[in-house]
Amino acid sequence: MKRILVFIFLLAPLICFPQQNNSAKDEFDFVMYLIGNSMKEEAVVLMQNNTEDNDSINFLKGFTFYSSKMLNLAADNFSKVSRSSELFNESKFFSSLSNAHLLELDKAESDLLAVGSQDEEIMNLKNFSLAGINLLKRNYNLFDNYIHQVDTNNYPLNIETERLLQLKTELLSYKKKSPLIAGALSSLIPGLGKVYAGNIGEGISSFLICGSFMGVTAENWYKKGLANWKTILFGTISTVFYIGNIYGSAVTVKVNYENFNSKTDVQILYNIHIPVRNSFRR
Amino acid sequence: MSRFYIIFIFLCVTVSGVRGSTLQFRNPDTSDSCRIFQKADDLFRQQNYELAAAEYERCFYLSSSKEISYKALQQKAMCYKQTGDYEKAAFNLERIADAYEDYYQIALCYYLSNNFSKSLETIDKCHLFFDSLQEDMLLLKILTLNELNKYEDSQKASEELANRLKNSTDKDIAPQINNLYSDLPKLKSEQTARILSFVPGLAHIYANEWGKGFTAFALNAAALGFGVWQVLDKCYLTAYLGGAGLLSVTYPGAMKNGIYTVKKYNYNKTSQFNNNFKQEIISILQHGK
Repeated sequence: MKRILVFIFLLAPLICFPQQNNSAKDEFDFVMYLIGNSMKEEAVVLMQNNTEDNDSINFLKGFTFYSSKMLNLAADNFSKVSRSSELFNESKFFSSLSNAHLLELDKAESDLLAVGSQDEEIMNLKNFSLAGINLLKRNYNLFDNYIHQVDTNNYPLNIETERLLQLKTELLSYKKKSPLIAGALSSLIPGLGKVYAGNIGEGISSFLICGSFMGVTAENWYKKGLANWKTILFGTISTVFYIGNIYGSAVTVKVNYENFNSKTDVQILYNIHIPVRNSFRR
Repeated sequence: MSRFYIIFIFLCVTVSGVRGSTLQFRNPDTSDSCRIFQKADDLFRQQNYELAAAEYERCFYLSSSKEISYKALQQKAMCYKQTGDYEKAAFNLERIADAYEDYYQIALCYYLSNNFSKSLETIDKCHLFFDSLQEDMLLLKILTLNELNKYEDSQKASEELANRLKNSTDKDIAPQINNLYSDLPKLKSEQTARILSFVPGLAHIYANEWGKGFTAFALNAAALGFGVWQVLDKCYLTAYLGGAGLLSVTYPGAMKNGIYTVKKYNYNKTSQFNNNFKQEIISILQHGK
């Protein structure tokens, strides 16, 4: 009799509360179903109207907004997940990704620094992500520090790590060109500054346009004199194109550098995003 | 004592296993779905269509009843119709399309979202599944074919509709309907426009845009004239770069714009005809019945 009572006492919680936390789990499953089936708008509407404030829902809100590229809202909601939650580390990784996409790199880094776990895989991912964030910040010393802590035996991370190292090499080997030299070259020969900046086609086209107008001006000056209206008209046009070309060459150098940087940033973000999603199977 | 522990562990595993399976393989009872359906209906009545659509989707997701799932998606489509998102409404109806009415609604939604080829495709599919089309679908087919400028097919469908109504109501509306096709829009040939556009402005004039035509002609004539004048003035470089250079911009521009003007003319004409046709045929059918 005594044993039977002990049985009942021990099994009672399992029998009486079999579906504890089911509502949050149901909501979680349903929203994941919506996101997985290209119904992100419905998921966003549900989350915007959900007034519950618990870790599961906050994470779910964050993930829904993250999937719908509403990154500010995503970062806000991920940050509400409490440290005691089992979703804490995951939310910090996704919050870091959201902030990194928003180029809030300090916030992204502090999100990752908050990650703590005994799990080697999580710590490996943390070091890898921190390396990525520091590469975005162009802080090569910290990048090296974190990337060397990544376990290269980990297959998916191994590929991404190599990719990050390759991007670092590309960043370091990029020869930054001087806008001043580009402008000076274009003032000597129109279009030469653009060739120096790397835009050969644009340089040739600028040379032809400026050269044509200068040729027409010269022809009219030679045949009709300096005071002829055609000489003045084409001379003015030539001058505008000539000055514009000098300015354009200097700007091209800057734009090319910015394009290279943003293209590299996109690649870095892509490379740190894939392992996080794969690790958490999202 | 060890037997006691073995039995206890066995029961624990069994009970927690049952608990796990309820989490993974949910099969909620119908009352659960009905409750969500009612919630969605309330939201629909409050005109909160976006949230109602999401709740109807939840109902579809949770329900094991085919009937509830079917109604849920129908209502979800209705929400999108209310917000004017007809493409989404059609997409959701396509997920459950089974009855004739579903196909009609899908075709109508595609028609309302100006996706006429998809609308016609749905009507043809419906014809294939249900052998013959009812009057409402025939009318939709006529309107869709008109929008696709397939007036011959549209007239054939109209004749079928008139015959169908004659058999069912004994009223012959065929002459009135045929009369609608007597004034088909006279469209300008795009091929002719392409040929005419070699002379700047002529394609514009072909599309009755006289002002634009003369402007295009004058611009090109001025560029050419400047070039010729410079040749006569022995300023060959100015002639080549000033005259021909300018002409190389204005001439293809005038050609492109001429063809576009003819396309715009045709679009306006067909839209005007189709809108009048729509009103006329509805009025004929209302009075005919």
